[in-house]
Amino acid sequence: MQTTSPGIDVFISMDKFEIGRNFGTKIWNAARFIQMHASKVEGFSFAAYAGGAGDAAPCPQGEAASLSLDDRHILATADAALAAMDTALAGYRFQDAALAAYDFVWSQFCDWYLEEAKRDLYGDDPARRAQVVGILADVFGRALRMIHPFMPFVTEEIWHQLAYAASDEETISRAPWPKPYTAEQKAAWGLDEEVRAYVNARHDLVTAGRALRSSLSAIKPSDKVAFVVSAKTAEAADRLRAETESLAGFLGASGVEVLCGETLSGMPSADTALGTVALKLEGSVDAEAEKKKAQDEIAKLEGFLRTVEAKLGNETFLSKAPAAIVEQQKARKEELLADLARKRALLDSLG
Amino acid sequence: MGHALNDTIQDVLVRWHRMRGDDTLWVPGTDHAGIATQNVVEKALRKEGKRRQDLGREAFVERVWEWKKQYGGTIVRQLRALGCSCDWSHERFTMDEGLSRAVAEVFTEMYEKDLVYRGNYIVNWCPRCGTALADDEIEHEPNHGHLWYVRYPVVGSALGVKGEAYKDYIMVATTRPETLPGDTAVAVNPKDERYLHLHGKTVILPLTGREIPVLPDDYVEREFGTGIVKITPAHDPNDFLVGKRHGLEEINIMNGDGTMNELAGAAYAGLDRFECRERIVADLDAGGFLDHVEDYDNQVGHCYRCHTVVESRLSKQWFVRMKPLAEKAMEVVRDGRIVFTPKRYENTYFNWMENIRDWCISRQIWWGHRIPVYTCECGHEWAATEKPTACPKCGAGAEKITQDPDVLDTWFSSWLWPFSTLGWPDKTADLARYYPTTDLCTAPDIIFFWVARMIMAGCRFMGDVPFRNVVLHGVVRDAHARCPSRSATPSTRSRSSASTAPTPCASR
Repeated sequence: MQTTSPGIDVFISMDKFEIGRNFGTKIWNAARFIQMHASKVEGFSFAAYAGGAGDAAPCPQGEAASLSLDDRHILATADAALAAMDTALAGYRFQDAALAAYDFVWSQFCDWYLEEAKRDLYGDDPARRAQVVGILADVFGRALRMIHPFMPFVTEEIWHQLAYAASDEETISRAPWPKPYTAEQKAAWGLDEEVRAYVNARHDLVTAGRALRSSLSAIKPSDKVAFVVSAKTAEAADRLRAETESLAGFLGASGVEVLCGETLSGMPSADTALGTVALKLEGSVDAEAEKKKAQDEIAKLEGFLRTVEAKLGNETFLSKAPAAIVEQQKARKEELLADLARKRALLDSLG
Repeated sequence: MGHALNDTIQDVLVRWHRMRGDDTLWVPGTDHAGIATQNVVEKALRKEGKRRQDLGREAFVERVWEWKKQYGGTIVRQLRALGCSCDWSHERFTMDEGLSRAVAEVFTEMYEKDLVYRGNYIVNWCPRCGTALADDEIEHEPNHGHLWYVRYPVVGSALGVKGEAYKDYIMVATTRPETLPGDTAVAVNPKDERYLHLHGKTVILPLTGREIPVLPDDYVEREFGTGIVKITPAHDPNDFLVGKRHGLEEINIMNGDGTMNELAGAAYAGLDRFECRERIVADLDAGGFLDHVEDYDNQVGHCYRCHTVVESRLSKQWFVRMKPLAEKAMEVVRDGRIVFTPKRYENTYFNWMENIRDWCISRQIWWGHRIPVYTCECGHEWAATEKPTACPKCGAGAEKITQDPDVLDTWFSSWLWPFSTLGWPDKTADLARYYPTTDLCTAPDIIFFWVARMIMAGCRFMGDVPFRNVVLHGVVRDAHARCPSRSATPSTRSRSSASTAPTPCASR
């Protein structure tokens, strides 16, 4: 469904089916994870989150003030995904609806919120554990219903396995479609665009930090390295300082130092909306060796680029080669240019 | 694959609406795919060394029903396997009693209101079997033939005895000179600069002396022969269409058994078509009309049963008058009562509707809804929804009454789907609850065959549109833009229709 634009021919191949299969596995694993943690909360009932009360949800459990920024972010993002799906389906844009659901579940819920939730779920505050399980059950229950029209079998199975269905006779296909949170709920729980923007920007910062790690061949995935962040505003710095433990977890870092408004030089760095994130090299990386490596790679990439440019400058090639091959070479050139820019930035940052 | 995509799209819509609390109905079902199904059963019969004629009509139709029971459930099984959330208690088949009644009712009303008529149409004809053939009943085979170059003098030029005397003539290439007496025009491509001076001229048809016009028509390929072709509307399907475009006379010069009739001229009447070919070539040569002959390889259609060379032949067929139906059907799209997604297909729809031609609805096969037109020996003809026991005019009994042997085009039942499946012509609770339906989903390749006709039928017989939205999705192709082939014969086509407070979704 993801590849289906209205009235446009659909091109299929096995990898398109694999997207669906992998997604099914992803949902299944998320379900097992949530179920495992819910089983540790006494008297917990998924059925309370099946939308029966018209999504006048018992979630989030506990006081609104105790919701974390990530809690508020995932709830607000679930709401936005629902709105995007409803708009898309009302306009028969099935691929947009499918992508909204896919992206929400995979990129937002599984990649970020579930990871963030682990710290609390494995933590020692039982009230907080119960609260997080409630949020997981609410958001996942909504997600299952949103995905159901596209993936009826796997969602039905999970609906029963997790006992969102109160009995065997019930079916997710008759469960109510999720309703947007009311204005009162949003106000009380703090579900607003500002929270979404901040947490999204923090996700971007983590993604940029991870890219820095992987650009240095000397750092293995299991290595703990030190990061430093220079926030653009004092407010962002305060928020990030309160979250250094979580940031360190996502970055695989030995520590994250948060500064404000400082220029970070002499280390690999990347600019993001919240500020600059940089890798501290001393101690963990042999800067000279990395420099040499980067220089070698730049030389190699430049060689490739010359070959491609020679082809694209050749009139005979342009006129005789099939259009698809010419396009391929053009794409290759763009790719090489982007790689080169990255490597050169890395070289610069190494001083 | 196309089915799976279409069914999935409909299922997404239906499940979404149902979860939102809308009153939702998705009617699953199939049409009877008249010609394709009859062919499959006839092929099976041939393995037993039998033809359908050996069984007779009733026994043959019985055989098709047996086959349908055995294999016809494939599509519906696939729908179930995909998890489509149809209302299975509403499953329908176009040959069901209820749907058949709707077909008879509609035909009879159209007959009485003069919305159907009998007219000439060109069909494939086997002179040995004495029957019309569907396009897929013809086997095309390579043939080493000839191309005869014939001179047609331009009117106003001097007529002489031998070729040299015709100072002003045009040259026409043909593979079938025996059809020459049926020519009613010659045609050139309008963009062919060699022949711009001929537009509006008249030429003389050799051997007959008849004057026929030179017409510009896009159908003519500049590269074929001389770029000038003879137009014989009664004996070639393309020429027939050219004839319709230009209002040409259709002169049928051949009998059903492949011999020539008196319209071919006294010299040729009674000759077999191939004998006639030799005679005409000889006469053209003698008259100085034959310029030269070339060897020519082409494809010639043969009867799949007896391997006789197939002819194109005019025959009486039933037609629906489309203009009066099309006007209303355009209006409801123009004023937004029906909306196409993507919107650009509305232009496709209007283009076709504005240039609509009458719809040939009769088929010379047995599997389908037999045309409910009856003729009494007294000469009276009428249409009726029930088999008559007596002639309403002279009172003669059933033994004096014969029914039209042809059946209706499968689409003549499919176009009623949105209301026939809900119980029409009875005033049912389902109709009141679900008509007009909401969404019709299908691929763009059947906008004309199906979507447009459903809109016409809904407006005409229900007085309201059959659905509010037409949702068109792409054709499924592999990564190299090919269509996955349907290697197996399609047994029946899915004709599901769904309704969210109400929806028909539909598929093929």
